[in-house]
This record gives sequence, C-alpha cells and structure tokens, in this order.
Amino acid sequence: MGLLAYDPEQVAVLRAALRNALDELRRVACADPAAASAMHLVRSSASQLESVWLPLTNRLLATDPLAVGQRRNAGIGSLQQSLIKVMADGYGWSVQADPLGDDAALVSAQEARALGARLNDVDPRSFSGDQATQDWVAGQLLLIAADPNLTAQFLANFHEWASLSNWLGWAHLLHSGGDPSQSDPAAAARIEQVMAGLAAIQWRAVSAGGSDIASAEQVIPQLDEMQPYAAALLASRMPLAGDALVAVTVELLQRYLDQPMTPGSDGPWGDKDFDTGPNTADLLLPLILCDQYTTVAYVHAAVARNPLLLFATANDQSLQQRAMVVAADPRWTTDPEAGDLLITLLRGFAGGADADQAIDISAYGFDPDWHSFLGALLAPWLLEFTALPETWGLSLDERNELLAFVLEDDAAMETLLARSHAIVDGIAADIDAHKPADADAAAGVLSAVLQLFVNEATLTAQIGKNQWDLMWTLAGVLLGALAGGPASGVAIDTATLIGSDVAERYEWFGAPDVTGATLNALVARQAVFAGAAAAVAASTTRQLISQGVLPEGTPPPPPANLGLVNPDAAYNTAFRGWKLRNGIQLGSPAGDRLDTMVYAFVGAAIVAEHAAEKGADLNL
Amino acid sequence: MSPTPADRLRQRASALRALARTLHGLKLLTLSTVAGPHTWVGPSPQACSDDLDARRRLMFQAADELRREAARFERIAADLDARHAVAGLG
Repeated sequence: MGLLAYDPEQVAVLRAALRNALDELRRVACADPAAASAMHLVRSSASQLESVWLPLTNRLLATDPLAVGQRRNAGIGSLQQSLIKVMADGYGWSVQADPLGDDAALVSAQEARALGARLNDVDPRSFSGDQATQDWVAGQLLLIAADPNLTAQFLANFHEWASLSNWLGWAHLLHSGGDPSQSDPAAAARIEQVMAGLAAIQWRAVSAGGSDIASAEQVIPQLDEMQPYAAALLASRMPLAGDALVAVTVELLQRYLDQPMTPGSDGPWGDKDFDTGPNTADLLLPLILCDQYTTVAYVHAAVARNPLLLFATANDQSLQQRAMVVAADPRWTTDPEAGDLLITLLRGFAGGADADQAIDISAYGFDPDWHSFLGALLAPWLLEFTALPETWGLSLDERNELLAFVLEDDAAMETLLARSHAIVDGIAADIDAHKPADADAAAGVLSAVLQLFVNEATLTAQIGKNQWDLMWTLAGVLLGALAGGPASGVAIDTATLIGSDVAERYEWFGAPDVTGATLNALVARQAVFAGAAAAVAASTTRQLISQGVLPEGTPPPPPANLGLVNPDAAYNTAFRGWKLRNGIQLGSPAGDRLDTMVYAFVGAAIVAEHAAEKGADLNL
Repeated sequence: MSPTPADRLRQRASALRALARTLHGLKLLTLSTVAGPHTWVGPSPQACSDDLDARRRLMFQAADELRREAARFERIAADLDARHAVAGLG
C-alpha cells in the first residue's frame, strides 16, 4: 500500500474523459470474423476503464483526502514518498492511500526531480543512519544515473551536494573505525552505495561536458563547502584514472591539510577530527596504487605541490610509503625523476642546511620509524650514492651525509638487507646504462659504503649484527654485479667466497662491544676487501686459463686468510707470492689483467691506508 | 442481382477499413494526456498511465492489421474479377 497525490479538478476532468471514452468504446461494433482480434481489444479496454480506472477516479472524488496527521502516519515524510510529498506540499494536491505499492525498479522523470528536491532538505543526520532508506535511495540513484534524461531531471533540483555528502562522510567515518564502538563495515558499505549513486549521476553530467579533467573543482560539486573526506568518498566512486585521478587526489589531500577542525560537537565531523579511522588519502591512494605510472605521477605531483602531502594525509602511512617506493623504482621512473624525489625527501628528513626543506613528520603524529622506508627508497640507487662521480648535482660529501643519515638506523639496515635484490637490480641497471662498473668502481662502492659503517660504528660505538650482515651482503651483490659487467667478463663465485655463511663470519668477528666497535669495523672492512680480492683473483685466473693466456694446471690463487691482523695487506703479499711462484710476470698479459682486478681491492696504497687508519684508532 | 464473391469481399474490406478508422479516432487514445502527472502521481496513476499508453499502441497495431486484411480482401476480389472476365471471353 502506497500513497497517491492528485489534483481533484484534474481528476474530475479525467473521470469525464474516461466516461466519454467508455461510451464510445461501447458503441464500436463489427461482426466480421477478420475483426475479432480488434473487437476483443475494444471490449477489454472498455472493461478496464469500467472496472478499474473509472472506479478509482470515483473513489478519489468521493472520499475525503488524508489529513496532515494521516499523511504523516502513512509515511509521506519518507524519501520513498518524495514525489507525493513534493506534489502535496509544493502544489497543494490532495493525498489518498493507493492500493498499489511503488515499483522501486522504475523511476519516472517526476520521481527523479522529486527525489532531487527532497534530498536537498532531508534530515541528513537521520538519513545517514537510516539503512533501509539508504538502500532504496542508492538503487534509485543508480537508475537515475543510467538515464541521461532522469539525470538531468534530478540535477535540475538537487543542489545540496556538500551538506548531504558531509553527513554521509561523517557516518562513513564513524562506521569505518573513526569510532571503534560504532564500527560497522556493512553500514559503511551501504553509505558507499549511496555515494556511488551520487557519483554516477555527477560523472554522467561531467563526462557529458567532454573536457579533460585537470582539477577537483571539475568533478566535485560545492568543493569549497565539502569536507575532503566526503569529496574523496565521492571521487573514489567515479571512474577517474591517470592524470585526472592524480590532479583530484593532490587537490583533495592539500584541502585535507588545510581544513580546520570542526567546531562544536554536532558534526558532521571530518577525518581530521578523528584520531582513528581512515583519512582522505586512505580512500584515494588505493586507486592511485592500482597503476605504477599513475603512482609515479602522483608522487611527483605531490612533491611539487607540497611534500607533506606524502606524510601527513593518510592514516595508513604504508599506502604513501608504497607509492614513494614505486616512484623511486628504476622500472617505473627515470634517473632525474628519482633524483628529484630522493633528494627532496632525504634533505627534508635530514633537515639539511635549509630549514625550509625539512619535513617534520613528527608534527603530524605518525610513526616516526621511517628509516626502514627510506632504506627501501634508497636500495636501487646505492651506486648513485656511493661510487658514481656525477649524481643529481650532489657532491659526494652530501651524498655520503644523506646515506649515512639513512643508515644510522638498524631498521634501515634490515630493509637494505631485505632488498638486496633491489640493490643488485639497481647496479645492474647502471651497468646496462654503461656507468662505471669495473673493478675500480666496485671497489669504490665497497669502500664508500664500508667507510660509512666504520664512521657510524665510531660515532655510535655499537655495531649491530645487521650492519655486519649487510656489509657482507653488499660485498656479494656488488661483486655479483661486477661479474655481469661488460668491463670485466669475470665470473665470480661470490656465494662461496664472500656472500655466504655470513653468520659464521659474524661469529668469527665476535659479538660487537662498545670499546672494540671501531676496531671491529676496520678489521671487517679489511676482511671484505681481502675476500673480494681473492674472489676476483680466482675467477680471473679461471678465465685466463680458459682463454689460453695461462697454462692448464696453473694452481689457483691463494684464498684470503680472514683471521690475520691485516687480512687485505696479507692477501696482497700472498697474491704477489703466488704470481712469482707461477711465473706470471709484471707487464705480461696475464699479469696486467690480474693486477688490474685484484689491486683494485688490495692495492698497496689501499691496504696501507686501511692499516694506517686502524693504527690511528689503536693509538686512541 | 445477388452480390458476387468479389463484391462480398469488397464489402468486408470496407467494413474493416471503417473499423480501422474508428479505432484510430477513439477518445481512448488521447486519455493519457489527462491521465498523466499533471493530474495525479503515485503507483496507481502510474499504472493507469502505463495501461492507457499500452492500449493506445495496441489500438494502432489493430488498426494497421485491419487495413492489411482489407487490402488482402481487395486483392483477392480483383483476382476473382479478372478470372471471371477471362471466363466470359472464352
């Protein structure tokens, strides 16, 4: 049972027309058998008018319309009765009970207009908690959105986008974790359906315009009055992608940062008013992260607009971190783009010389444990931060400072360890790009990174197992990359000689202690270089034998003895002795090749410098 | 003189065309103009409007069918006349 609204005078006109039509139908006659079907239609029509539509008009005209109280009791205030209410309140029509109920699967133009009008002044607080009505409205909105005419009818009357969306957004926040006592995923999903209906209608109107979307104002109505969370809820239900999604996202995140706290306790509150639950970014970033190129574009747009967008807008900060890691991934970005991002972020975190560049993430209450994230960003670009001569316009000193800033934390070390594949990939990419990757470059990388560890060990007077592990792992991956490089053509069995059995070497060095920290670091560096030299010597010798430069049966070079006081200097001596014993002359093809490779790691100057440093430390 | 079969067919065709004209001019066909949302709204008014629209379409279809049948009768009558003329000449 529903309601119907009517203009009594017009119904009287209708009744007279029905009577005239009925009289006319009764007079129609034709006995020809060929007219049987037509005459059947005539008689059935007469019967329908006589038994159904005339009695209905008679009843309406003979019965008193519902009084105001009766209308209210009959539910005229519900959104489902929008059209009846609009005609009764707006046009003074009478209202009576209708023997039929409404078919929710059909929406007329009048119903679309009426729903638009009613949604303007519906009590948004009660609507945001009325699940049955939300279901009905969501269905009606989708039906309206599917039809251009219905969409136009709806939009002709509906204009309270901000008010309705803000209340729905507030309810969505409450049910999505903003208030744990009201957490209700089903209720949140129901609100999302309503927003999806509104978004579909708006999107039909926007897309009909045909212009490219370059700003949030183009897709979000009443943007200045709409809370960013509500706007994000709406935008997230639109088929935005690529640059359009990036533009809308960056704009809404900036509005999130700029929005004031909601005064008073009546609501609707925005996401910034809640300590828990999702924020604007939590709604939009999952869409951004669906596509790597969109992700890269988003991160760079955010850095250009305001780097804080990347740190101060999401409740789940891992979303932003994932975006930044993708944006720094060599597979999806270019060298200069990655440089812009990394320099901006690292300078921001490190504080730098220019305080204006600092990123004070702690001001926004987020987990300050960002070292491991920075380690992940940095992993593919380790060579750029250590051995390559010209990188992103940074001096080697600043690169070392920034790298040391990241690696001061064990968590960053762990991340680098976990991402050793990314380090290898990054170095391999540099080799492919014909950047320096010969023995000198690899030794330079080792030297630069290990020097950082030594410095760090000295500064903090403690060395964790992770740093030791990373030291060995780095040695392995760098030499592994060297093996694939065009400059050497050397196949190095680093797994056997260096990269494996890290734990055993860690045991050999003993547990780190405060007083011996610096010494241990220096000894470790010598050991890494000795091991690397031994690996290079062995593999180069095998290669020279296979090429016929050295005779078959040439004994392998000596292994590194890591237990000696100065293992790199000892390997230099042992290597020279091995060459002498096997007749490998200075200046010969084999001698030159071996010297080039091995002395990059344990050359006389290098081992002397290492020993001197250690000696200086020992004298402290 | 009694009507020939061809004459009877033409008479039937004429009756069918007359009925088609009647159906085409029924007041029923214009009822929807006064039964629409300017008069009333609600489930029953919507059902009434839909019913009247449907009957309007069916009436037009029935009128078209009557005209087609009338034309068929007239073609048959013409054939009969032609055969009769050929037989008379023979």
